[in-house]
Amino acid sequence: MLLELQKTGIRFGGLRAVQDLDLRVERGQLYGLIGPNGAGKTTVFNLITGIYTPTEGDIRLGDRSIVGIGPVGVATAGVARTFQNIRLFGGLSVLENVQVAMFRHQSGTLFESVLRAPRFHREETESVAAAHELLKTFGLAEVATLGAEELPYGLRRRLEIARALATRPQLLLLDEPAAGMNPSEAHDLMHLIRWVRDTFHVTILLIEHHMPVVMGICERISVLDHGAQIAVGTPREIRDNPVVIEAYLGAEVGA
Amino acid sequence: MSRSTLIGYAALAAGLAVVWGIEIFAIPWTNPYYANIAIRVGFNLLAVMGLALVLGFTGQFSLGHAGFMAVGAYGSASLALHAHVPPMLAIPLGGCMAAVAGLAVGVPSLRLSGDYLAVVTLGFNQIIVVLVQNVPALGGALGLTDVPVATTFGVTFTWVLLGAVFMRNLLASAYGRTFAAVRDNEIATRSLGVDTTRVKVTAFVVGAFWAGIAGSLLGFYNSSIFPKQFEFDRSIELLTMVVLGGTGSLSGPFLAAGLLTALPEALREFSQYRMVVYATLLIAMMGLRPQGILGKHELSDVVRGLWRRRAVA
Ligand SMILES: Nc1ncnc2c1ncn2[C@@H]1O[C@H](COP(=O)(O)OP(=O)(O)OP(=O)(O)O)[C@@H](O)[C@H]1O
Ligand SMILES: [Mg+2]
Repeated sequence: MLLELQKTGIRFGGLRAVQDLDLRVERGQLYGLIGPNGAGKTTVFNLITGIYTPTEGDIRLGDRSIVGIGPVGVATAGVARTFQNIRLFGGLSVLENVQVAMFRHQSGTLFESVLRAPRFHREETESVAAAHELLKTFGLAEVATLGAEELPYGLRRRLEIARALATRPQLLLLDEPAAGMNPSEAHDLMHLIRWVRDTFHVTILLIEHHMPVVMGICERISVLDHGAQIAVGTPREIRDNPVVIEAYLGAEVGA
Repeated sequence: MSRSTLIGYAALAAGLAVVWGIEIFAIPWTNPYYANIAIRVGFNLLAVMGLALVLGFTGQFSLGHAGFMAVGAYGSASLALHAHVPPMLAIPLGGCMAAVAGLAVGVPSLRLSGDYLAVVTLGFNQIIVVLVQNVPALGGALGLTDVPVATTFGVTFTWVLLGAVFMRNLLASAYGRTFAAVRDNEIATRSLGVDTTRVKVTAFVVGAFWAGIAGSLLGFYNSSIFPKQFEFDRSIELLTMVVLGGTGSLSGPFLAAGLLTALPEALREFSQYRMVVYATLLIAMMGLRPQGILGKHELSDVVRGLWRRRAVA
């Protein structure tokens, strides 16, 4: 078991955005989190990553609770994420965006940087090489020196995934990585995500609206509706579950 | 040592040689009036450098930069007057005292976001001024006099060179990237395991250090310091230089600091309208070129751009 949410919930005033959520993600799994708009999916990510603190329940990573350790603590524990509303560093180049993610693994001091000590050069060379390697994987090598803001939309999402991976996480949370892509781009991205899981041996929790792709690559899926989990199971079980169909039809969101 | 590092150190050595060449061979024959302007440009370069880091590169709205100059100035002058510390040692110590003040102000306020910092730094600036006005050992409203004179053109620009190299190297490093990351998106920065409070405090402490150096040099130049020199309008002046020069640029604010220090001298009789001119400049800039003269670019980019254009033509 890598990630375990135990009866986790959060209230915003009177709104129970997430309630009584039990979620168990095995190490190495590709796990899908779906549900209609406003179901609470992004809130689950914000709870896991320490942006919000749950008002009920516990969140465990490996054998310890990560509640209350804050976003930096959670990231340091090995959880990386992307954002539904893309959050790149617009003033930095594509390469530098990835390099920022390597900062926490670097040990050079500020004075070594200022004095251009040998360790500065070594770590700089290493991080450029590693970042280039990642960018190549994501088809971003040609645009490495462009400003992140100059990237077309689809590539921005890819860059966010590359940047998250650069922290060398054990758990990767992807919030609608295929949003705004056409079906064929979404299809390609999903294959890339599966490939990333296999190559980097990372566990992935994925929020996605493109149903065919989620069903295609996830091994297990949880369905949220109004903050509560209404179904959990394999893609086949989810597809045939009348409660799920009802939730989606009720919310008038086509699958 | 890598090639680029060697070139960097060589450039620094060459710069120092030029500065001391001027000090020895040119300054004695230069009209002291112009030497005085040059030296005061130097002070502003140092002060504006730190603010460029905090405001321009890290995106933290600090309104009390002159307060750190005051800490450096009063700290180093006191060391020289009361403990007979030689000025050349008191100057960096003044910088360190300002850095400690930066830490004390930064740690509690940089945890909170945005506007809070502006209020705290503004308050800090006022408190420092009131404090030095009311502590007899610091000379009260009249300030400290008989501070040993030690700041010359050479001393000032040695510090300016050291500061410029320090900043350039810092910005072009992993630390430099974290400053920009905090400015562009704090939530994303944290999600990558980078402690953003720490990044902001670092920028703040480094910025305060260089403001402290500027203040120290000032005291050892005029042989006296008084509270009025470090009031809020001085902070606004520095802020104007950064915004005018370009947030996210180092040479832009340098350029603006040079212009805004030298021009008022040339237009002495208008000096009482200085703040009006700054306000007008800022407003005009917001309308015409909100990113500042150089925006996020450095002078070297501009020169390279011109060169390329000429090569093409
Ligand atoms: N900070 C907050 N304060 C108040 N309400 C919030 C906050 N964050 C989320 N909510 C509410 O919680 C509910 C769930 O939002 P959330 O963003 O998690 O949905 P989602 O499943 O990600 O939806 P979508 O598919 O549209 O991204 C919404 O009603 C939202 O308005
Ligand atoms: Mg969402």
